[in-house]
Amino acid sequence: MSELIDLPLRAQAAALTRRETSAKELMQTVLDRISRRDPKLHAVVHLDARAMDEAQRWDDTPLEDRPTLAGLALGVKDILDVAQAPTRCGSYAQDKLAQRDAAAVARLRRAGMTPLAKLATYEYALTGPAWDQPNPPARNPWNTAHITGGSSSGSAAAVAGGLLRVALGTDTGGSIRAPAAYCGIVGLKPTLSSVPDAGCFPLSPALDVIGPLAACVEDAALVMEALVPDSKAARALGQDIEGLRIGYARDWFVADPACDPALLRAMDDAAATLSMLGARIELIDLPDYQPLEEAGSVILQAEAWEVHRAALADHWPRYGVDARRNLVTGAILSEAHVAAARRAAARFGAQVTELLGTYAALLAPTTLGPAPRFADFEDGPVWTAMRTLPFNMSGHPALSVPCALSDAGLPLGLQLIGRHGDEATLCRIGHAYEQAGPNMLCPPITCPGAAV
Amino acid sequence: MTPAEPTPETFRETLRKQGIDLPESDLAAALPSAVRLLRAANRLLEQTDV
Repeated sequence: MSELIDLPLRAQAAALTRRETSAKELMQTVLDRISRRDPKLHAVVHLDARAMDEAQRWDDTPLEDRPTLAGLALGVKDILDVAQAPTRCGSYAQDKLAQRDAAAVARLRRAGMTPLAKLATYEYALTGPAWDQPNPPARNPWNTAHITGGSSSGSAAAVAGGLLRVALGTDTGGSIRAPAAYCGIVGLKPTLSSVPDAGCFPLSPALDVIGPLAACVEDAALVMEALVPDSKAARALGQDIEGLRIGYARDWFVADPACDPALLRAMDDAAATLSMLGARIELIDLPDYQPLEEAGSVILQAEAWEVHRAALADHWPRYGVDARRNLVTGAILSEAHVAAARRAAARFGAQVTELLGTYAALLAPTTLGPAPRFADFEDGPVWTAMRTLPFNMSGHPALSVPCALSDAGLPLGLQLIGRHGDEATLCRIGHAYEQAGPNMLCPPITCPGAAV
Repeated sequence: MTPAEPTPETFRETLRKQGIDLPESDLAAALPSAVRLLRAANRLLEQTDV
């Protein structure tokens, strides 16, 4: 029984259909796992006591009336509302009881999933880790001295730590993909605006996207398809990638001093693996990264300031120190600055769209190195090198898939970028790579024989 | 013509107009980030001007 919750969602659903277990037993196993492991991971900030009742309702529902994902547990980043549960956004400045599910949560509930756990987030999905939030920072299951990355920190820790197969996160500049890469799991940032954002506390509406962090590509695809049925994200899984052209943006990171040597080896190995699977890998050029990150930061900081400025005036001491110091920087920007940044974003978006007229997907790293240590953050926020924010600006979907371990034994991730609305091709390529790529070890906390 | 970089006084005044009376420690910590952000934003404006 304890192994069933480690199997992909499809296998868990099949076991329920065959009545090898009940939804209630399955949910209890997840709760037991959380109670054993979460004290070391700090991923969960709230458990929904109604989950067992919901599981019982699925057990009482005839098989033919159960939707695809009936009875399976879901984690939800704590900036998304779950009806009758608190939404705290990782902040003392926010404490409300949600009246209804966020639209994305509601879609997954309709698909049968039970939102069992609210999960840790960097404060208002902005900056972290921090120690002046209502809950301690989530820890990386591969090595708890290291951060998970953020801002979907609890979602990544919960999935990598084997508490849940899948959790919802949000991604404004990499907040799904970076923690997925740091924690050795899959993260899918859907196409901008494809997943409804009602009931999600905004950070930067021009960049924010809701999507899944998952233990494997298949799980991410199933959840994506439940969120946006037209994505057909799960239907292309298993199709070969023979003949697909993939543009490899090698020059976009190879000369960056922050690039971990193990990452460069892993990216080249990934390109070789995709080639062996039949894809046609061609080197491509993308515009210089630094100006793109600057344009994205201008949009993000300006919009985050607009979202928070009234509340900052009213509740300054209740915001965490790093969050409030970050937010006020946006006050310095003018409308002309933001307009210039939006023009830069549009130019980049057009360039990527043009490339994707030739290529089925682009290949780039997610982050340029493994997760930093908590100790690195003792004096305040630390900049970490990644290649994620430009695709929030362009709105293209992007999938992070584990590709290697660093010399220190921490995960690294590659990123596939696809055409607007074409999450299916990303999942198809990601799934093929996952099946053929490196056989990643498990985080120590999840290994057979581990005390937890 | 790009906006001038904020000084402690101008940054404090900008925020005071928004109803935020910035404590000294927060001002000292936030100002360098605000300056970096403004420089990046000004570079975007200059590129547009070209």
